[in-house]
Amino acid sequence: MSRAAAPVRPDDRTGSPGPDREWLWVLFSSLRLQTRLMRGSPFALLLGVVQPVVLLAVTVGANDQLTAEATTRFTVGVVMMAFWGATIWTAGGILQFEVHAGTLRANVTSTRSPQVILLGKCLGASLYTLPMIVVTTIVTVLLLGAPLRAERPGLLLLGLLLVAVSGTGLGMLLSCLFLLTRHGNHWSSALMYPIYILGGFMIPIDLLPEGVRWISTVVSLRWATDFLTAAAAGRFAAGSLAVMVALTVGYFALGWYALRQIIRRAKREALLDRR
Amino acid sequence: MTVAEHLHRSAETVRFGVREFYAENPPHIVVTVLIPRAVLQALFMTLLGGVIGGPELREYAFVGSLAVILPLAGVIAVGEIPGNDKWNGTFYRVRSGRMHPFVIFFLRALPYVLLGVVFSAVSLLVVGALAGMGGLILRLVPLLPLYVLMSVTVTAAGLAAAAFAVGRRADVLIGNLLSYLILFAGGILVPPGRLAVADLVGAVLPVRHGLQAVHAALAGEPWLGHAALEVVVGAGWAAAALLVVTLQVRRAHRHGHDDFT
Repeated sequence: MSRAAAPVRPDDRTGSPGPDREWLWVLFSSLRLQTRLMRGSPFALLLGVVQPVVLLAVTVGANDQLTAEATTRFTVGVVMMAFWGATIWTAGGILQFEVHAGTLRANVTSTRSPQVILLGKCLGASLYTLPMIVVTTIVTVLLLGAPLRAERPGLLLLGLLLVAVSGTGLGMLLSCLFLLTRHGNHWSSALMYPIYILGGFMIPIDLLPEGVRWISTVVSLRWATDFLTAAAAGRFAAGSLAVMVALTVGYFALGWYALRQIIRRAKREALLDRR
Repeated sequence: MTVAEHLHRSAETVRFGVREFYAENPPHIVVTVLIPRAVLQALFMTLLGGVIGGPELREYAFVGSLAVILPLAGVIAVGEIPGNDKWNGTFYRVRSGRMHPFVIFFLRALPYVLLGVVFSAVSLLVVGALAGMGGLILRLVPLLPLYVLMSVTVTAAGLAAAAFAVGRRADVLIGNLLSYLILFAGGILVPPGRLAVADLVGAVLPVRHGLQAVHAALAGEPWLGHAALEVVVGAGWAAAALLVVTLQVRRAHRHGHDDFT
């Protein structure tokens, strides 16, 4: 009895896995592509290196009266600020870049899920910028000779990993939002400072008017700031962790849904080729 | 060219600059995005000053925050001018005209100077009111001409940076670097004398001397010397911009391309 020939997918010869793991392969390929695209990106350099150095110099470096707690809070705040900016300018701009490069149509009409492609690219952007920001920040604080606390390194690492994941979800959502306007760059720029102020990164929430404090509760990086600051002081802020995770799940769900709706509309109104 | 012809061409260039500005920055974007962004940046800097050094540094930072937003217009946005010529292939017309390209760039940059002043004036009112510094607002209003001066010097530096960077596709990087340098060394959050590197770098950057003039005037001290230094620094940056543009024009004539390289 002869064995029936197993169906061979055309791209099996290139080493791609079967359909059950295909999404993982797409995710990894997208991630790798995004990190390659970002090599030499001015935004990665500016927000990953220049901004943390300058902010630490004018806050921590110019003030020798700061306690270790204050320095730690500012340091975590600087990391979150830089990461928020990087998320807006890198992950948030992925779909705009696809439009300008003319690759959006190919991505959303291929047999692969466009959501998985966007997810991989946003994850790539987060994993490219966050380590750069963290390393720059630590080196700068050490060079400034400022006292810094890191009582629970394991929790700090966990927090940073979750920050990368949360930034990925935020990036997906922002990328979809910025696609809806021709002035995405202006909106990217405009969105930075509201969250710098309301996100509780460097400006304590209780300094803000009561009417706007609620805004920070829907910003996952605010809870990440709380979690990381607590971990640096040796505490486990389970509540902050839980809210951060819940918000991150919400960002992913919204981003996933938003991209699906945008693609449907673009196909219906023949907008896929519009630049 | 006669003086009348010069004036006519200059007026036409300014008119074109305004139209170009609105093409890049439509009024609804200026009102709903650019101005709020500048105000929020000024508010952030003011609040940050208070967090770092209490009420005294908050007032100091408020004065500086009105200047730290000038590069948004005069450095980052002004890069659109040589950038437009590069990407639209129109630099050959600029360099083969009867007016010097630097003069054309500078006249086209005037809307950005004005935009910077609008940023400062609106932030003065809004941030001052939000931060509860009504008295300081009243004392700063007569000093707005110093912010106009700083907007001019910042734009001169922005033009030099943009003309230098655009050929290397580094306009985003160089423009933002200059803005961060001004934040670091311009005396925005850090009073002079606290960071030696900032004092050294800031001496040749726009904003620092202008802000010293504002602080001196607020303290009732002589401020004209600081303002004069700001003029000198601005003139230096304008000379640098003139040099860069002139070199690019000569290179374009010699090599026959207009890529600003």
